[in-house]
This record gives sequence, structure tokens and C-alpha cells, in this order.
Amino acid sequence: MEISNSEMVEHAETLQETEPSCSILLAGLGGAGGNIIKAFANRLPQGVRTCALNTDAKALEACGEVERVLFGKKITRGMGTGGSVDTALQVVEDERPQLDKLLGGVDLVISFTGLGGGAGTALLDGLASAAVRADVAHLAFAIQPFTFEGKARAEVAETFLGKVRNKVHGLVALPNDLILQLGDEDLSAEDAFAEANRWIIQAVRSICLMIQTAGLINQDLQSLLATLNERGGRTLFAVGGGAGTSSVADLLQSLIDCPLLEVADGKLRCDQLLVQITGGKRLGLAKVNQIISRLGDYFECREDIRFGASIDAQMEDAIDITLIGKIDLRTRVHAPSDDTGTLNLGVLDHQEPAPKGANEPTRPDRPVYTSKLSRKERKEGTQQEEFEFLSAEAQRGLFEKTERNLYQGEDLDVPTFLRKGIQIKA
Amino acid sequence: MSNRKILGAVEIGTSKIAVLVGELDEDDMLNIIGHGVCSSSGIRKGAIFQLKDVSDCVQNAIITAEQSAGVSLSEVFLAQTGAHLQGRFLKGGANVSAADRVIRHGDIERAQKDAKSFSLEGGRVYVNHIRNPFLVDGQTVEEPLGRIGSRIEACYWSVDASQRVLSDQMRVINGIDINVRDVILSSSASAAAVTSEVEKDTGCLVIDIGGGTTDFVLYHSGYIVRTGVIPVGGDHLTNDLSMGLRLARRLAEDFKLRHGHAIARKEDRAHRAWAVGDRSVGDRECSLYAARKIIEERLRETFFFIQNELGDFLQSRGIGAGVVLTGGTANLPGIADLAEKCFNAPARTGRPPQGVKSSLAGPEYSTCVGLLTYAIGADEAEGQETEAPRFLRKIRSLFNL
Repeated sequence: MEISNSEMVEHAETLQETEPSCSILLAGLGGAGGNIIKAFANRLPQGVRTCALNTDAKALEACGEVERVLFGKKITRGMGTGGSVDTALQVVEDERPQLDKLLGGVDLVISFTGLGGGAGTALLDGLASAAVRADVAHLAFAIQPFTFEGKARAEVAETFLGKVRNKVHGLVALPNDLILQLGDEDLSAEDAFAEANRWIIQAVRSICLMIQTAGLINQDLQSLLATLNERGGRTLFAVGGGAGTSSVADLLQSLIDCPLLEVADGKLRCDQLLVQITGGKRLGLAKVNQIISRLGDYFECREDIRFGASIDAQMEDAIDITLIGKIDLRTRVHAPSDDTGTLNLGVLDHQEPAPKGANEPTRPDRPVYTSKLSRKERKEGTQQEEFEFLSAEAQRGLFEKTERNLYQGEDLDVPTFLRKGIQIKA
Repeated sequence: MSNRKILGAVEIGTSKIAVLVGELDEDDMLNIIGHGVCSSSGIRKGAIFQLKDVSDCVQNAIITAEQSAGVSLSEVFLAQTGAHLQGRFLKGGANVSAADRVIRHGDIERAQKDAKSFSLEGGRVYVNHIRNPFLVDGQTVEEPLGRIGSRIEACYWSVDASQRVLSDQMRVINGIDINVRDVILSSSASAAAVTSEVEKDTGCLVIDIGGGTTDFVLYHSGYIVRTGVIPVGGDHLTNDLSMGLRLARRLAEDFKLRHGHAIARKEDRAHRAWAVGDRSVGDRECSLYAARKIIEERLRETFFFIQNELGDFLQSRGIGAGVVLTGGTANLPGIADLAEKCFNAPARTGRPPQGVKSSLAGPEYSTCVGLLTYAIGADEAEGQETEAPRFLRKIRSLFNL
């Protein structure tokens, strides 16, 4: 972690001479996003743009030396939205061109948002749509509100999480409640947030390094995109690490213990996996090999596993591991095509948001009644996806609330045909 | 009257709780004089989920059985299944102590003690030690007593259970003021009821597919050499159907019974079946092929797991007499054909022996009936070690009602 900025810059610069580097934008949306961007200061390789977006001029001011974009001067006069999503959505809608401009020439945008409030929530939605329009890869870190912040905020967060999921390539949801689990009772709020930011920083830093520098075993933006596959689905994210002398098992444990990795219980299977290992000069290939194969086993991902390894002289004996995985939910709504008309912005794209109806924009636009005729037509045309199960828990039916029936890493309570992906035409 | 012995057998299964009362008369003939069956609630996948519900069901079943037999039970034999069971092969040895190298009782006992001395981790207890042939100087020997050799080894296939699960079941039965005389592995009990001596000697695989679990036993040369439990049963078929066809659970169960078949055939593609059958509101047609494909995949997988568990045993020794399927799911048409395909060996459905009254003749009762036959053995041996092959030879002739 403790890498001086200047040396990092050197490293990045030598590379920039030889090949055109890919352009990465880190966007902090809203208040919480701004705080994270601020924490990044001086800890990033060069060539990474940082930018804070907010509707509150005061908060933006506090973000320090980054690119700043103030939204909604007309509507809020730079005084924030007061936590109202509706106002914020209106602002974002008004200033769509500004978002598009921001993404010009960018290859990958990584955004940070605290969900549940006004600006951040709406900006994430807007940015995600803009990224779809500009065909920019988008990895979003979304922080979910504390439970004690009340049900209203949680609901807003939940709704937008679902909405954004299908528009971004990767979505890492981080429940703020996890922070409460950190450290001791007397851990100060500042330290707790700093600790949480530390994971995000390590994760983002290693992504940037992976993409921008040539590694021992090289991975680039394309590998990241291939791992994230298409928009939608569930993203796994974890960082871990340790001293070079620590055993492979310890390293893996640190990775699995990482709170960013939201593993409900038992094992998780993932469809694609990307592992990036950064170590000092003494990083052994045998160790890399062991780590990768053990991770592949752990996540039961043997077919589609990409890994990169890079040497960072500053790391000396330490090893950092970053893991990005993707679970293709069967329910995945296919990535919206280039003409983003209907799916992306839902209701918002077509009509002015009603100023009073608080729930209006979040309601799915579903027809009130589908005639039997239209249903018939659909049957003959494209093949329907037959299952729409959202969570792993919902796949267990009768056994929903019982202990997991794990047998050689598979949950036997989940129907065989689902686990094996056998098409059943009901 | 004084010679009359009353034996009770209880099986706490995922879908039903069955209690049988048997009577041994003066001529050592076993009569089943009463039975009680109660459909279970509070049990999932062979493990107790709601103690209170299960307790009520067991009490019901026992009272029904007692009433129909006109006797009261004071102790019962209990069948045991569930994913918490674990089998392992134990082997212990002793050097023959006598100078003339003749094996005596003491040597055998020491070898047996040594084998059983393998200590389990905390929270687990042994359920059954199933004796396998002795080895004298590495040679398989049925009866080592009096043989000459320098080292004798005793082998067991031992099954241990989670103490917590076991004591839950014990508590249910003890709560009705009945003692549990012994706990017996469901799979070996079913196997005792559905296989013949010849089959066991030739080697056969008994698969008992119940509501929540699948138990299996592999016989070789008359001995049980492997047992195991796969935590999948008929309920999983129902659940798969209910999710695959999007039917309510009750309808799915009904659909399974009416239209279920273990193999999806090409001609099924043309057929559709009504979900409810009475064409009431909400009734709809489901693809027969889809339903059967769902069942086939689940069963294939289960059979595959069994093959996996048996591992090299299956290849090296084979199952000469084939596969015997029993338990409630063995009623599913076509399941024997599927097993034949999967195990590449002849397969049949096994039912309790001839002579058992018709209400107990279905494969779902084989565990309970088998339990009684085991119970007689235990009663005869009285404190001695249960030697399955010997007493079972006797049992076969006993089975006439």
C-alpha cells in the first residue's frame, strides 16, 4: 500500500511513451463519492482522471484538487438537493449533455456513490445511462446506506441498485453496515470510514495498474471487460494480501474475509474470474500458480479464469491480490443495444418526471394488461427464458429456509436442471 | 404367552413415520401384528426441523400401532438416516498370542477392540459397526477361531452420526416413555428386507430413495462393505417439478405420482398432461417431456453421486447381482430402467418379502419391515455381536404371515 507517488508516476510514464494508454476516469458522485475521491488523492497512477460530481458546491469545494463538476445550478443554486431523489433526477435530466461531455474519450469509468441520498443516487443512474450511450465500460461501487438511516433511504437505494445493475458492466454493492462490524467499539468514525475506503482504494488502484502497466503476466482492459462480460449480472469483488512469507492459505483467507466479497454463506460459484496478483521482485511463480488454482477451486470457476501478475519493486515482500468475478444471473436482461431508447432510462427518458409523485420514476414500466394474442406471438418468435429466479435462495423452493445441502460444493436443493443449465421447455 | 416377544420398529422418515409391531412366537416365527403410519411434518431432508411437530406425529403413529396390535411397546428399534451419517472403514489387528499360533477368542476380541478404538471427533457417536471378514495373515477368513496364523485383523464398516441429530430423535421417542433399544442404519435395514442371500453373496447395491434422503448399501460376498447417504430424495423431485413446471408444491407432488417417469422419451414430446386433472380453474397443460426430463436429470445425478461415493469399489468388485431399488421413490415407473442404464447392471425394484400384508407391501415400507428382521437378530444375539449373514438366513424362513 505504501507506495510513494513519484515512483508510481515514473512507472506509468515510461509506459505511456511506448503505447497509447487507456483512459480511465474515476468519478465520485454526490457527497460520499466525493469523499472517496478525496481519499484517492496522491494514491493513483498517472493518467487516471479523477472527477467529483455533485449538486452541492460546498461539498464539492471540500473534495480538493480534482476536476469538479457542479450540477443543477439552475435548480438548486448549488445548494444540494436535500436528499430528494426527485429533485436530483430532474437536475441530472437537465444536464445530460454535461454527463456525455464528461465521458468523451474515456475508455473506462469507475464510479463511487453513496446510495439512498439525492445527488449521488440520481447521478449514478444518469452516469450509467450516459456510459451506455457512449459505449464506455462502467464499473460502479455503490455504497448502501446504514440500516439506521431508515427505511426510506434503503428503499431508494434498493430501487436504484436494481435499475443501475443492468446498465453497468460491474456493480459492487457495499453495505455501509459492514463498517459497523469493523474494529473495536472505540474505533472512531473517521478511522472506520478510512478503513472502508482503504479497500476500495486498493481495489481500484490494482485495476488501474493492471490496465495501464504491462505485467509479468499481462492483463488489460479487454480482459477486464471479458470478465465483466456484458452489462447486468452480479459482480464479485475482493482484495486481500499479506507479506510474501505468508502461506497461500493465509493469503486466500484474507481475500475471502474481505468484506467487499459479499458471500452469503457457503461457497459461491462464479462464471468468470479475473485475478490480479501484485508482488515484489521475489514473487514466485509457484505461489502465483497455487493461488490461482486454489481460487479457481474455491469459486468453482475452472473454465473461464484469467489472471495477471505484476511486479512492483516498491512492494518488496508484500503481495496484493485483487479478484473480480462475475455471476451471470439467468435473469440477466441483455445489455441494452446501441440505441438506448427504451431500456436505459425507463420512464425518465420519455417524460418529464412528475414533481410530486415520489415513487413515479421507480415504478417499472409494465403494461397493465397483456392480451393473450400478444403472448402467443411471443411464443412462436424468440425463445423465452424460462426462469426468472433472482437470488440463490429463491432457487431452493421448498428447502428455502433449511440448511444448505452442500455436496461437493454444490447445493443439492437447487434443481439439477438449474445447476446444469439444462433447458426445460415447460 | 410367556415366550411371546414383542418387537417395535420405528422409522422417522422425511415423508412418513412408520411404526411396526412384530411378535415372535414360540417357534420363532415373526408375525407383524400391528402398524401405524403417520405422514411427517417438521422433517426436512431426514433431519428434525420442528421437534414438537415430529413428536406429535411419532406419538400418533406409535399409538395407532399399539392399538392395532393390542399391545403396548416399551422399547423400539430406530432406523437412522440423514446426511449427518458418515461411514468409514476400520481395521484393527492383534498378534496371535499362543505359542502354537492357534487363534483363540482372546485374540479375536483384541483385534476387534483395536479396530473399534478409532476415536471420533467431538459431537459424533458410532451408530453401527458392520462386521466385515477377518483377515488372518492378510487372508480373508470367515471364521478365524481355531485357525493358525500369526496376526489377525478385524475389519468393520463403521457408521457414525452427529450426536445432536441422534439425540433429537431419541428425545422424541423417549418423550413418549419408550426406550430406544438400538439404532440401526436405515439402508442396512431396507437391504435386509429386499434382498436375498444369493444376491448378497454375489454382490449387490441396494438404493433406498426415501422422501428426503437416498441411502445405499453395497454388499460383497455377503457382507456390507459400503454404506452411504445422499441428501436427495423424492421431495427433491417434487421441488424440481414445482419449480420447473411452475406448479404449487401440492400439485407438483400429485403430478409426480400421476405422470412421473424416470426416463424422458422422445415420444413424450408430443404429449401434454393436465396439472390438476379436473380441468378446474387454474388447471393447465404441462409438457410431459419437460417433467420427465427434470426427473431424469435429478435421478441421473443422484445415481452418479452414488457411483462416485462407491468409487473404485464398483469397478474392482462389480455388482454381480445388480441394483435393487426401494423406498417410496422406487414406485416411480421406469426408475429401474434408468438405474440399469446408469450402473450398467441389472436393476429391479425391491419390496418387502412375500407374505407381508398388502398395506405394507410397497417399497416404502422396506426399511421398517427390515428393521423388524434386524430386531429379531439383535434379540437372538442378546448382547453378542450382531452377525448379519447368520441370523438372516434364519429370517428368510420366518417370513410368513
